[in-house]
Amino acid sequence: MRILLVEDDELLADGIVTSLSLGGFKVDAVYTGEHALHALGCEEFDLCILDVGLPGISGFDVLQKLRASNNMIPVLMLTARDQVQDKVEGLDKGADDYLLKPFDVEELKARIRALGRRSHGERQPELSFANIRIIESAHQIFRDGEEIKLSPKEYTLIHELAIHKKKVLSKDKLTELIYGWSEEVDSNAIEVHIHHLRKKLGTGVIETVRGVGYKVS
Amino acid sequence: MLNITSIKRFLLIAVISLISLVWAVSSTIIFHESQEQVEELFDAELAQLSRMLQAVITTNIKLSTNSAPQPLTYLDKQIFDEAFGHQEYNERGHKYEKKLAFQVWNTQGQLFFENHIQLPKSFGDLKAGFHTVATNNLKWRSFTLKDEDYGFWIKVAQREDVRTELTNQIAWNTTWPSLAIVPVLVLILGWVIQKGLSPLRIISVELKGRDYNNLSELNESDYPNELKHMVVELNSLFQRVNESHQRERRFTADAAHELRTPLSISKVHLQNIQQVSKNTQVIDFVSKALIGINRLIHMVQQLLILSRLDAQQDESKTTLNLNTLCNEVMLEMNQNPGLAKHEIRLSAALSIELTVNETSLRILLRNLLDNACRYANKHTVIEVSLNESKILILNQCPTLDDEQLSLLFERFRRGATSNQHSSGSGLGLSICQQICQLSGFKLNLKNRQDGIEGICSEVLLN
Repeated sequence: MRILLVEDDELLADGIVTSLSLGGFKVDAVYTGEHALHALGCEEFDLCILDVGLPGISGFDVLQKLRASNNMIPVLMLTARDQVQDKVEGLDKGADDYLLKPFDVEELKARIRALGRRSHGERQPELSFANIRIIESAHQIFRDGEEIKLSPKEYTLIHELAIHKKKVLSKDKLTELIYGWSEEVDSNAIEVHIHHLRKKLGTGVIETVRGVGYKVS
Repeated sequence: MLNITSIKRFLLIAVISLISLVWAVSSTIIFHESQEQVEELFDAELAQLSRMLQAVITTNIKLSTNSAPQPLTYLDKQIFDEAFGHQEYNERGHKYEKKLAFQVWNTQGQLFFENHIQLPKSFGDLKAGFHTVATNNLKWRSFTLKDEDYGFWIKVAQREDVRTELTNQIAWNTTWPSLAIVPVLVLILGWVIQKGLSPLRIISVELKGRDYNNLSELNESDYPNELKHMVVELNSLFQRVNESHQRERRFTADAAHELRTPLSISKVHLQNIQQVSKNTQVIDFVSKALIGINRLIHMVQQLLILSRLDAQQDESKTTLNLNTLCNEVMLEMNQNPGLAKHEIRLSAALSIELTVNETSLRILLRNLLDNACRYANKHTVIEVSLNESKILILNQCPTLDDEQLSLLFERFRRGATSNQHSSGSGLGLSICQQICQLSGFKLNLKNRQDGIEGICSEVLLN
């Protein structure tokens, strides 16, 4: 899942990026509302974590502009304001969830997973396809009930394919989802990961759609 | 210096005392003056009467063929016998006639004219002028006149008690109207003083009727000039207190707010270390640092709640079910690993409806339960009992003396038996008390009375 974090405090942003990366999410961080609008306009993200108290354009304004431009990306507001009216204002302006600082990273991750599921029309906390079952909260993957150990990148890749079940994801899209902006990527990195995954999960699990990308069904 | 506890009472007592004193002195003077004047008038009448008698007797002597005058007859008997009843006088005479006596003596000491009233009859002690004669328990005021031409004596007398009665009556009639006016004056003065002091009463009612945090200004134009200065000063004081309150509240709220981001930073990075580190010692240190951070977060949250309660924000009230709310709070408590070590048992009457501010009541219940758990002996039961009039939360812990109990409400004071790892901010009970004050509840903390060692937190809802 590719996440855009908009947080003006670089130290906090850095901590959240690290934490979410450790949780298998691909996170890109920007520090102002302007940069957030630019990034969201140019690239595709699965979720946006938006701080309310941004310098310049506030989090609420970013959200309003985003919704006005018909961008329906799930938005999780992050704020130091805990008053009911602040929450109501955020949710009314189109936020999907609201998390108060200081938060527990596990709660943040759980909320991100829940928003991810909801945005794909899922309600179950588990993803399943063919003979594969993924427990998102524990980062566990089972084949026929037997747990399979995957590297973080492999988990992210199969998780992305699973939440976009029956949809073809291009190699570029997958690269973006898994590596974001910051990392240097080999041109055949995705193929290598797919190869490893097929070895661990079985050859029929991930289908190759020639000239387009990969999918699971 | 005179200590005035009530201006109204002071003014009333002072003015009435002064009026009474002035009235008493002037009435006494008037009374005595009137008495004196009436006495003089009576004396003058006596003298006049004696001269009339002298004139009548002299004429009688001149007309008489005999050289010695003959005794005269005074026809007063039937008048004396007549009953005047309640009347003082009628067309035939006045009942006081018998109080007026006269005697005429000739030169030989022979009484030849009198009106048969028991005025002492003694020729020997006749002396010209005014005298007071006492006889048969009666006192007479007499005037004696000697006719120099014919040598006879005329003695005219009035009974002293009648004179005194009349004198007093006349003097009293002069005095009583001023006495009668005193109560009327007191009533009018009372009204005037009350009316004059009414702005003071209005200002005190206005101030007394205020909520403890109402620092709005008084309308200066509503008060007379004498009070305007005070009202202006009061308003200025209100303004200063208000500003200082707001500054204090803003500071607490801002500080609590601004602490949230650095706390988030520390917490996120510590949790990251916890996740990536393979070193158990590092994980242990980080866990302890996280406990500290969580405690700090709790305190910041409590400070924010307190500053909001001080500012009395969010006053909206809703009708809610106390049982449901209590169950929700208990569930939250059970999810808190630090506090879940105790079993919380609820016993409640069916469906208790309350119209309150939900957020406040939730915080109140949470803080009281949190406190009960924090200070309870290990593996004991916390009992919660609800009914229409009160909420009782009982735990099992060492009892406290009265002084310790009263100190529990002080801000930043933590109980001595608080568990080191889960100790609170020292603000919880202060918040509870503030909520109770704002919601019209009463919070009592006391030792349990049911024979079990522990503390009973009691919230009286009415």
